[in-house]
Amino acid sequence: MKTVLISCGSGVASSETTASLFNDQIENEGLENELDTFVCPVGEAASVMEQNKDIVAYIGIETDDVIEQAEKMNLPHFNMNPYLTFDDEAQEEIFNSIREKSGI
Amino acid sequence: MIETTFSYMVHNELIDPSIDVNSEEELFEVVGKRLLDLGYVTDGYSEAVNKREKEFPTGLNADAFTMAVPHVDPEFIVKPFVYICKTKKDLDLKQMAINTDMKTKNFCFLGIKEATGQANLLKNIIFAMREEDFISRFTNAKTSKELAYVVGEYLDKKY
Repeated sequence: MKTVLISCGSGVASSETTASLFNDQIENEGLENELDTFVCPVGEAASVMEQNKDIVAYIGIETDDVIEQAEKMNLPHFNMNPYLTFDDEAQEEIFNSIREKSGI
Repeated sequence: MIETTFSYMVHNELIDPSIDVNSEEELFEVVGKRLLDLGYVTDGYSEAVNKREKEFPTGLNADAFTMAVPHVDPEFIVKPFVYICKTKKDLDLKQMAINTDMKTKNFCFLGIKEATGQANLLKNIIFAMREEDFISRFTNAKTSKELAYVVGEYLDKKY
């Protein structure tokens, strides 16, 4: 299944929160059978992107390593800030962008 | 099990409506020592939360309300908790994910013991920060009891 990788400092609070909100978006669009999320600490994100061929996008803290790996693999990447600051409009833009680029 | 209510993490002994400190580092020392003395965290918690905050800040900045939610890896947590406090002065810190400068007097230290099960804890806090009632009651709270009631109530809300 196509997967969105979500990462924060320790993969404990803000990434779980972002994943929960993104999963709500997936459910609202009825895409539970086509798209899911995977959470990990940002230190592991580049490695996960490289190894997991199901990853279609990244949302999280945008470290240099993450940006470099995402761009190398032509994966869209987004800062998680809209999911932590009630920016509903930006959240929708991120979701629609991921959906479009992953062909869902 | 994914938890949906978190008021059990609010304890009267872990609330301070008026801490007099001059920096986040000082606040982490004060709160860390209390948490250690009461058996909620392991030795090394203060240092860990300070280090983590520098690398991955936890400031939340909504238009009408600001708060920080410092937290560390579960290895430093003995028992899950939410330590609620307000500082007398605005403290300088940085906003989560985008690292921009901000200030706040409002802190909820998150003692997350089990990441998946307690995934909705921060989500509930973020949603609470959108509510005028929460903002008003938290901002105007002068006692531990008032803070306990408002945070406990909103940590158990269904969104």
